[in-house]
Amino acid sequence: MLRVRNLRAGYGNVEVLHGVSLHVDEGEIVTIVGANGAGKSTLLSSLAGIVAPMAGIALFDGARINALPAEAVVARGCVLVPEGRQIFADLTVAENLLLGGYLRCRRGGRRALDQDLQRVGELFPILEHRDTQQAGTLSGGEQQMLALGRALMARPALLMLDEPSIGLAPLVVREILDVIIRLRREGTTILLVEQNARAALSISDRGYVMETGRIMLEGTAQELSANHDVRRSYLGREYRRIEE
Amino acid sequence: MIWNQKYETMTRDQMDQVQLERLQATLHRTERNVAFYRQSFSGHGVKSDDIRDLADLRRIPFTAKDDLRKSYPYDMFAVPLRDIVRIQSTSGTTGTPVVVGYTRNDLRTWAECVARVLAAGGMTEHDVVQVAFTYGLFSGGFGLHAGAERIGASVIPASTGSLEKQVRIMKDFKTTALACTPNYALAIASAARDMGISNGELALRAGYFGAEPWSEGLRSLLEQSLGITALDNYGLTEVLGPGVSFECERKDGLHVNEDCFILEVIDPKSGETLPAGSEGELVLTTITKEGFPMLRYRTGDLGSVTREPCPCGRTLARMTRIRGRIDDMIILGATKIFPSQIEEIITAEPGLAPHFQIHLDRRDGIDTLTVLVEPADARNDAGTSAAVGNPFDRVAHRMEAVLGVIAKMERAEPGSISRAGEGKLRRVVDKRRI
Repeated sequence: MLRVRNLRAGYGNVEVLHGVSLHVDEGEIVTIVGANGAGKSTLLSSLAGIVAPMAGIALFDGARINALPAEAVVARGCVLVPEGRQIFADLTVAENLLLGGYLRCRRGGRRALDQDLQRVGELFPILEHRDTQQAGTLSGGEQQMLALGRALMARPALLMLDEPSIGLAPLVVREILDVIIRLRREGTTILLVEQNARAALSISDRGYVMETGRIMLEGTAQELSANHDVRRSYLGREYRRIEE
Repeated sequence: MIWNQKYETMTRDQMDQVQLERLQATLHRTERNVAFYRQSFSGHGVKSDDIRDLADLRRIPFTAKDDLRKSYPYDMFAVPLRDIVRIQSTSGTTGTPVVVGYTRNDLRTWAECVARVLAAGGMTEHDVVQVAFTYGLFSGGFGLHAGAERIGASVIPASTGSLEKQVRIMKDFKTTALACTPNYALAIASAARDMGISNGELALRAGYFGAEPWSEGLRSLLEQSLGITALDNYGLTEVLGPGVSFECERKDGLHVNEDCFILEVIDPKSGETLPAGSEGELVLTTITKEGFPMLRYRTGDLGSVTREPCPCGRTLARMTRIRGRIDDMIILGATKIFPSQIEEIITAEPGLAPHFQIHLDRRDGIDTLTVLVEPADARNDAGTSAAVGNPFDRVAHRMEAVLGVIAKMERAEPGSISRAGEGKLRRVVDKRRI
């Protein structure tokens, strides 16, 4: 579904991604693990069309997306849930969700969104109860659900999530993970970027480890979890001896 | 039977993507973690970032056996020793041994690769696999063992040793598949005959032979004498152990586990990459190994590769059976021949046993080749009389006609060559070297 070869991207003259190659097959949950500054967000932003890549190719369902503007990428079914949620704080929950379906509304009218609103309400009952509430007054976990719900309104075939667990309590993280698992079961392919490697790998099929803008390791979630470097750097393994 | 549908039947496009990703990750890791590769890259003015395509692999410098020997024991390991859970090594008969290490993931991948080898010959959990490779530092024993165990077969870690013991086990434990070197299998077959045990008394149906080159003639012989289908598989400790490539039921080339290895064929003199179909030296790059990655390792083995689709359904590229190692090549004046070619001729001759040894010498400035052969065991054969004509002359004639070599034939006492070793036989004795 998604095939990326040698993607280079950055900001101004600073290259942050140094030739990243990866792929996501239909129906998979793939995680990109890495520390702060590894380039994970830049990767998703360049795929989403927010940051224009400097070189390389990204193919979505066989068609190039690396030169497309962001709205064209969404139109093709590849949707980003950005880091830090970035919900529209001054609008209501319902308005945020409707905006997520903007492109589909333009094509098929307001009615086209009814089914999706219903589905989002089912996935996140808490949002249904607060649909007239100002989005900025929601808790962190609720905002994350809203951001997710908003993305789902665009009916993505590939959902890209940038650090969905950041700043959230463990119980809430668990809820978000459960939703992601459910989404995959219902046919959405997932590309997940996470510092919380343990949580992300626990629900993923495969993963990539990024460091300083490069992929250092690729494998199944099981392989990454068993890799000692990953355990030391990202899984917070218990150190028994100082030199570990 | 295809063990791993996903990786053994991928489209070329998908496999190229998998190989590129894994190659780039491997290059980044080795550049960072292995001093030898870091120096090698900078010495050649290349960085891991420069590799944007599989074709760019040729910009990476080769790794030679000597480099591995100089790194004895652990200098080329890419992870700290505490992450290595297994150590194996080459025998060191031709110099300092090469020591290799495996992480937990590496062991898992190894077992997966060998499982594919065995499944290709139909192995399932219902089979009883006798692993008659030496268990120890040599990677053959443990490699076949792990693959058979992964399949769920009943594994007998017989190792090498007494031939009579091997036959007893084969019969009593109801072995269905034998894994060992082809010459050891020949010796086991001989021993079975000596013990008066016929194929009907054995449950054997398949043989997985490797660790040395063997001819089609030897394959037919093994299939007939043991009543099995005999399959070739290829690997080397420096790169993995067994499991790099394997024959399918078509016996038309060995499928390379391309999701784990990138195979190139080069001209051994110039180092130029050769196109598919051309014979040259096989060069292997590991793309999944964590503990001991190998970049463009010159194997010294001669073969060629093809991407033509195989009727078995696998899309994995195929390499030819190994004709010989570059070092095995015998140069006599202007003629170049391989022991396996001589094996082909001898095994086709019913009047001779399939055991032979080559002696090279120099007399009055001229190179001479003598072939020591044993006459066929009169009890052996299926219907042909060993006494008809002169088998030695026939072989000498064929060697001249087919190989362009004038060989002196010498009769050796029956059994003097055949039982001479439990693993690899010393095929060539070259007295020309000072």
